[in-house]
Amino acid sequence: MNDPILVELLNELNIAVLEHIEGRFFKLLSTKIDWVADLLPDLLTTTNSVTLTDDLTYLGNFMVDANVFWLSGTPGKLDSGIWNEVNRSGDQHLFEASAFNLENRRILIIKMQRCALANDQTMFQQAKDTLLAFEDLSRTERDLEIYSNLLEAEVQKRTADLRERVTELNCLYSLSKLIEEKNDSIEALFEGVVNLIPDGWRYPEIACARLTVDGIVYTTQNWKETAWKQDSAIKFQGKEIGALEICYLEERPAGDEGPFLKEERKLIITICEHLCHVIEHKRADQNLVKSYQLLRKTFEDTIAAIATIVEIRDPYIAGHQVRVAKLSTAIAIEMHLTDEQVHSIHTSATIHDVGKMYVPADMLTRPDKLSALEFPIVKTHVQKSYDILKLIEFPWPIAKITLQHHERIDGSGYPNGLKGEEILLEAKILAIADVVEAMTSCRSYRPGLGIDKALEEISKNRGILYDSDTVDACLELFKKKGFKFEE
Amino acid sequence: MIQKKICLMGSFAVGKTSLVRRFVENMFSDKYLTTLGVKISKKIVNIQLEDVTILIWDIGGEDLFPQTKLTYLRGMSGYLLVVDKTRASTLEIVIDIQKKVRGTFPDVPYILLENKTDLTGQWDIEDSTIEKLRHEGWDIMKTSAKTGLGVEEAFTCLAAKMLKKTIT
Repeated sequence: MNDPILVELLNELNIAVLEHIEGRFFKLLSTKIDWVADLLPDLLTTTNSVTLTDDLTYLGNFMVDANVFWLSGTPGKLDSGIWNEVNRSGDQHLFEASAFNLENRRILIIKMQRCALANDQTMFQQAKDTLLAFEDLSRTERDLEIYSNLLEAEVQKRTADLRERVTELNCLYSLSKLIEEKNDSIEALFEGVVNLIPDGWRYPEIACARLTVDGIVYTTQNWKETAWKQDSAIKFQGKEIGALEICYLEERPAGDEGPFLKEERKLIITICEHLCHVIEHKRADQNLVKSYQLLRKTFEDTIAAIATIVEIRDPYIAGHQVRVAKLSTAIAIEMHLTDEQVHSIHTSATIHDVGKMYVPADMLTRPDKLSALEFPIVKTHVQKSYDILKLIEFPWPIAKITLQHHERIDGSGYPNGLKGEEILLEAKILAIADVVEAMTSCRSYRPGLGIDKALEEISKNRGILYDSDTVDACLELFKKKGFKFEE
Repeated sequence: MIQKKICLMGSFAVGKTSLVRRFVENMFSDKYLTTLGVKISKKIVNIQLEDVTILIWDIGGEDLFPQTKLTYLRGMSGYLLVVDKTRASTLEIVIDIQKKVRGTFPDVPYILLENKTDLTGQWDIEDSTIEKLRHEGWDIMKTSAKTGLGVEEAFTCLAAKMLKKTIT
């Protein structure tokens, strides 16, 4: 290669041109410059020829393909691809070789890659960095989707679980409300309870229930015992008195206990405990009612006995207190008084003359009128009644009512000459009933004056001696409602 | 001295150059620098009391492995297929490479290296997939160019396989 310009050009382009002679023997056609000397250290300066050694591993491998190419005589070139070599100084350089067939001469050029390849390398580097970043992003997106799906599934599961718990709570709430509201029989309560139960279970549309307490059975309309059953005993004071059973009418996927959940086991146990408390309260209530009724009867019997004691001493007033009680009770009802007031009037009237035990019997049964000295003694019976009755802790002012039953609203009564509002309403009623009955009945000192006379008496003294409303009620009873002392 | 050629192949950024650097120089760098072309390294190892020069051809990684690259494999005694355990897509690529290589070099021993195993929280290749390849006769080893885990063993194991082939 004699053209100096061509030589200069090749040097600038970092291209070494070699001609293949034979085997691994080459002749250098271009100038021997530094990098060429580094790459081909065995290059002979005198002859510009070199035998490629095994150290040039990549180039040696390419030579196999290059030889085939040269032998074929194919025009054009064959490229080796880029490879790295480390020179004696430890610097790394990139090279590429190409084989040519030129006018029957086998040419090998070796190019040391510098700037262009450095740019290529940067470009490749950036491309690969971008690809890696994209792969990372795709992986993150994929992971996010997986976690999102997992989270969604977990949320759905927890929502379903929560819905179940709400259903169970609703069941317990409804049960509590039913227990509060049902003040009538316990049987009616259990009927209500058994129909509430299925709604608390996971599959209410196929659930049925049976409640057994003390041998009495309560079921839902669709009750049928099946293989899919959950039950719990009802125990009262340690003794089994019944059971609650829930059945599914169709098969359902397995839960913790057949098709049932462990939460449903807790629910059925809780319901049975509630029912046990209800039974306990109801039984206690029933006992209380019985005791109360017994006590009441004892009370009334005692009152009747007291009344009888008084009447034994005065046969003329036998039955007087009973009749007065009947009339005063009827007046109280006619006046729409409360049950408590009616009861207090009835009790007061039944024993209002108990103090007459202290009045000498002959004064009570004398056929003629009492003297001026004797009458005050009889009048003391009201104070005596009070003195006896005040010792008993009645739930009503019985003693006071009996004390006041001879008072008159104008203050002309006895023992204390009370007027108007100072007299208890119950005493005003008792007063009228006492007067009407006394005038109607026989006494030791006179015959009965008849009901008309009695009613005339109270009408005449309406608002003077006797309370107007009470008189009106009494007259209403006799004149319009046909009240009679004896039936 | 016996001289054996080993080629490293696989997708880009799986750690081929790092594995060679760890094996030859016992060094590692976290910085990723793409390999252009082919890098050839050399190391002498002792296999069964015999010194063997291993010529390692580190072939720059691309997802496509064209037929022309098969010329790089000429004369190889064994090859290492490298995957990045944190990128599942790199396994599909080496399976494709292995099919192409096996077509031309059916009897040459190879080992699949699951590289970057030190990144345990980011593993992306499922064990079941690896087991399936093992059942199909693949030799597979876990490596980490960063920590050095399994690197020496992988190269010496392949060298031993290559020598066995030479003897037989």
